[in-house]
Amino acid sequence: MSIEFGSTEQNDISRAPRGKALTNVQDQVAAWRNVDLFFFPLISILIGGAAVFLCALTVGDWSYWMDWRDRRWWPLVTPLLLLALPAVATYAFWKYFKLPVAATGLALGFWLSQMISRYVNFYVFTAFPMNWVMPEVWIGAAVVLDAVLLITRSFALTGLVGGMLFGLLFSAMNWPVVAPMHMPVQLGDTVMTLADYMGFQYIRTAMPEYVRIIEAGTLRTFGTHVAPVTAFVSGFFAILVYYLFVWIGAKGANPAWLKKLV
Amino acid sequence: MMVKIGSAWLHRAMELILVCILSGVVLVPPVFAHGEIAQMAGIRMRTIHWFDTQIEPLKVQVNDIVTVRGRFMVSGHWPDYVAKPEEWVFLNIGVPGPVFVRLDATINGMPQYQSTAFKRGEVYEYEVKLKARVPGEWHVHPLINIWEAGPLAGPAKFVQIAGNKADFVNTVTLMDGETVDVEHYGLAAMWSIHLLWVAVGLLWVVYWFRHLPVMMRRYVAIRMYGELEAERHLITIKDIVVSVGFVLGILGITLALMIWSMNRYAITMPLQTGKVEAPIIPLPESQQQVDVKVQKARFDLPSRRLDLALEITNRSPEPVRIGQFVTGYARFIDAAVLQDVKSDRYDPVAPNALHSDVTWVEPGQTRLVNLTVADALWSEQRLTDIVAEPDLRFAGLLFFYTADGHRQMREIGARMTPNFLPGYVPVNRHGGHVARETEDLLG
Repeated sequence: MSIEFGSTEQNDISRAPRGKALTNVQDQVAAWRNVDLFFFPLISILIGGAAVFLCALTVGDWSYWMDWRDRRWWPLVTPLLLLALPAVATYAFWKYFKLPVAATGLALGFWLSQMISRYVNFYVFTAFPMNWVMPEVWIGAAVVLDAVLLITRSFALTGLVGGMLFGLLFSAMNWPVVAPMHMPVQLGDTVMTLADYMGFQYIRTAMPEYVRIIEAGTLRTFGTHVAPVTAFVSGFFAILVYYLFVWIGAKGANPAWLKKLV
Repeated sequence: MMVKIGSAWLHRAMELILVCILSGVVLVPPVFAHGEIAQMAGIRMRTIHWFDTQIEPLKVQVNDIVTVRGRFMVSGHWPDYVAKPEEWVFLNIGVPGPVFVRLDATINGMPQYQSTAFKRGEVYEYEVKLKARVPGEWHVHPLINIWEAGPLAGPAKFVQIAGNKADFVNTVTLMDGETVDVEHYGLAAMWSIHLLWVAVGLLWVVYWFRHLPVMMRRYVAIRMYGELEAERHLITIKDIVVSVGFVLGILGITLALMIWSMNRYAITMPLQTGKVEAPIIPLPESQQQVDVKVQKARFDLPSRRLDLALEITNRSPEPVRIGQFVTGYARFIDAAVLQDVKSDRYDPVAPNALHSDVTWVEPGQTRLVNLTVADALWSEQRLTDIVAEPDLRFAGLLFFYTADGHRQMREIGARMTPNFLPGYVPVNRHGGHVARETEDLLG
């Protein structure tokens, strides 16, 4: 069977069913362009904003404050929870559009929403220094996730390779952002990081120092090489998280369950 | 017609709702307190007793120093249902956000940059130095966070900061010798890295949306030709090459940024945690020569009055009399002994609330003393909620004074009986204003 496929827009568009509102190909093209220009940014910002909310509820202080971003918990907890919604959206975008852009779009929407939240809520309203509440960045990891899906065209392989890279790259991509906050400062006999020092200086009445979860755990086998080990652990778990949420995305994108309800 | 009327009513209703919302925004008075009295009364009365609190100066410019100092006793009558202070506590400041930065904090002379632990029954002296940062009038409390119990605020003062926040200066010298502006250090690099990744993300999206329309064209194609067949045609070799390029490029950028940051920030260390010591300096014996046993305690809810029967033994060489009772951070004063007035409307002091039937306890003497602590302050500070606690006990600090003003101190605490019936005991004998209110009520 020979299919003239996608060689020209005209070819596909002319085959598409048209309702009464659209009477010619030009109208159809214009309408479809509007879908692109409206739907993708909207869905990116909406779900990205939802991811910010999810992040606030789950990652919370690990994401808010530089003096929470330790080598053990922050790189483990954050990427696993950030991966959930992109995995859900990825299924729908791949199933219905064959477009590997869901994770990237969400990461961009997340970045925009998160930056607005940090700037307005933390910097403007409550006067915390911006360098101390700068959010994590994971757009690069999201592009890798999308690109691996495009290359492999398989959710299974994308979970295995892309999920692992997502967990692994999170630490590496964010280290240049947090590194200045890990410069040591000496106060009398006490040596601490700049982030710890700012945690002491910039008063958080309901945030005592002891509630931070710093390097707590039992993973001591690799000595002080905590960060790379945690990144690998995060990568392994990210594989499972990706599979789980792609499955949830598949359930959500299939309207059969909705038909049963209605 | 009906539609028009309905529409007009809807319009008016919407206007009314809008006016109500705007009125709420404009008319609601500003709130200065931090909810400190929302903490359970039993926890406030039986954990930290604040006294000798000083916050000064009260009018400063941006960059000026404000010192918060004072003392507190960690109660020996600590509730069993609250985690113990020997686990985790943190000396903090209660302010609405970082309107000050904390330069230094000490307990009994020891720096308190991290968390610590207290021993029950001991008295600690603290000092916190703050640097004014954000102009405004701020309610400043000393505060202690206690693991699983929450924040316990001490008495507060309003501090006015004048000037411009833009003039605020905060520098620190890192261990590599570089002196940096704390609030802007690394910020330019952080923004640059963020924007770089945003550009990469946008580039990826633009690649896929470079020829509009995209989504609907692909959707229709998949519907018409099936997923597998559509996939073969919708994804080109060029797409795969570009994707591989992006993956390799991103790995390269990540590696390059890691190398750059390792060179730029050559000496880094992990976040620091752990406890610092809060050394114990015992009170001199000369300040603890009065022994007190609580024989009976009763809290009369209608008249906001704590009645205590105390057996007091004076082992000091001078006669003493009761002058002050402190519980939580509320101060109940005997006006005949001490002059203490409210510094502002939020100052938790009752200047004429303490009355006893024995004035002086002579040296070597043991006396049974009936002490009354009666004032609306119980209610204002929501300490009356003590009658609704899971463990009906009270605790507080009792201060005794000699004729020349020398002070003795002893913590008291015991089970207490609440009375819920109104007006069963005359309450106006000592002239407290609660007593007068109750008298009016009773006619």
